[in-house]
Amino acid sequence: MNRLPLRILVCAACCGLTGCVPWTVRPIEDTTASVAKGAITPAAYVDQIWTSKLLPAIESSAVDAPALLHSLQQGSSTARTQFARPDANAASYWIVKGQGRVIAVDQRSRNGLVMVDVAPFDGRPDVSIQIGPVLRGTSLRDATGLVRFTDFLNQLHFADVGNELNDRVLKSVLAPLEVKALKGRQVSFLGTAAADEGAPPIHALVPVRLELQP
Amino acid sequence: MNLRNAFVLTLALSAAWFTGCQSAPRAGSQKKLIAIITPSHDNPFFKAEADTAAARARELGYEATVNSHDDDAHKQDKLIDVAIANGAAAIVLDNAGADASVAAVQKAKAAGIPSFLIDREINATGVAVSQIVSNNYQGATIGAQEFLRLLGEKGKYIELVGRESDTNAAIRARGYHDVLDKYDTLKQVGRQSANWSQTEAFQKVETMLQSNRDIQGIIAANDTMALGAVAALKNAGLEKVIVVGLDGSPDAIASIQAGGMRATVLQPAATISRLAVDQAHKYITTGSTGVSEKQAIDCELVTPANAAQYGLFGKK
Repeated sequence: MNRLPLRILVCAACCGLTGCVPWTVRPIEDTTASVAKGAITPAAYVDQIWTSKLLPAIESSAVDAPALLHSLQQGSSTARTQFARPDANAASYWIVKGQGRVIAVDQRSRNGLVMVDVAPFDGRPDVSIQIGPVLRGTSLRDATGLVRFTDFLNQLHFADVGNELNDRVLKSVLAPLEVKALKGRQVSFLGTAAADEGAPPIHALVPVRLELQP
Repeated sequence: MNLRNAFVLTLALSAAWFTGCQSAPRAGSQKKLIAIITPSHDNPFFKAEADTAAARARELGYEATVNSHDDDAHKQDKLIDVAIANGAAAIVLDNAGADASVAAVQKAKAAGIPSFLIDREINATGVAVSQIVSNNYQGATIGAQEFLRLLGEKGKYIELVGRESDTNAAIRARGYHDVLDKYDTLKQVGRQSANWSQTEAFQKVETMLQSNRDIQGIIAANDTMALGAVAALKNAGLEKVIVVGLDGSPDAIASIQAGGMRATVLQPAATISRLAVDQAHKYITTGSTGVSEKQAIDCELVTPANAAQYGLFGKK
């Protein structure tokens, strides 16, 4: 006797009888719909983690820029092994802090950048920091491992959180800053960046702290 | 049959059912089976993911079957039944619909067969063991950023949208607009669906050009539509217009190298398929993949500068 159809029948019958639904169905919906249903908004989610979890995690795991830059000179794969934070999705990121001199403020693109020369000063940029008004990338969302795709309904909700985190940087870090006046000044910074090759060696850092040094 | 015999028979049947659910290998075959199910191989993307998964499975000592559900949830259901009947050790699936596929994957789970989803998500967690998702949103944002850069962040453009019923069409459109709409120096003068189709894109662009010969760019939600746009522009003598697509198909990469399209975004199908089979193997041998269920794999920008490094949906 072929057991198989019976087995399927029994399985089906078990589910039918108990009425159990052994999985959760969460429909893809736009953010406004989930807001309407009382689910958490990206802004509320970011409120929950920003001060209590995310900033402390970045602060405590940041590497010093000179050490990272030194390692990058030995080769990017060496530096990645030593300092990069691989996330669950096979990308890797730097979490880095340091001080330096702003040698250029580049606002030709709306994705503006300041170029920072870190000691020893050679007049060449070592770090570029995003200053808006448009911020790019998801390094801030992905670098710490605190915000995980698996915790979200789908890639759009996950994307919303990335955008919200960048917006938080625009509002709380960059808005108070007079970026044009940064040129030639000493700054201290703390932030996240994708650990891919490019120029300068640490590039497109998203700052959670960017302050003028006295 | 007296009552006692009936009781014994019930017990025996239950035992058979329980052990049946656990047993994996097919009679007469030493190798365990991995069933690979994807959309139609007419699209080279799905063929590449199926071929890569099958090759990796065989490399790891499995037997592999490859089938297509042609984006038909009913057909997908049948193929899952076949995989269950064959006692597959794992199913690798690029699914036929975020909602429609939940029950099919659950059915495999109930039969003791773990599923490893590739490319697209389903609207449920805890049913598949892994969901290795091609991050279409991220892909769209990097494509839009390159489009912006090529346009010098200003000008008039047309957008070609995918088939409206397809989840990825909406995701890609969101990614494009989340980037492009922050630039008021950029003006969208046309937006139409060409249903992922090259001929439809050709016709729609041809029509839109009649009143918009002064555009600087066309951004398309996939490569086949982008290639249709390139052909229509060439026909109209407007080769200077910048065209960006998405997928990283071999035809698009060839077009980029020949000076047609200016960029595309490659979905790493090969990486995703290999990851899925590796995770299936780890799950079969150790009972755990060691990673989160949902994993988003980033796409990569392909431009004239790096096109030569890319082959069939992956780095050469």
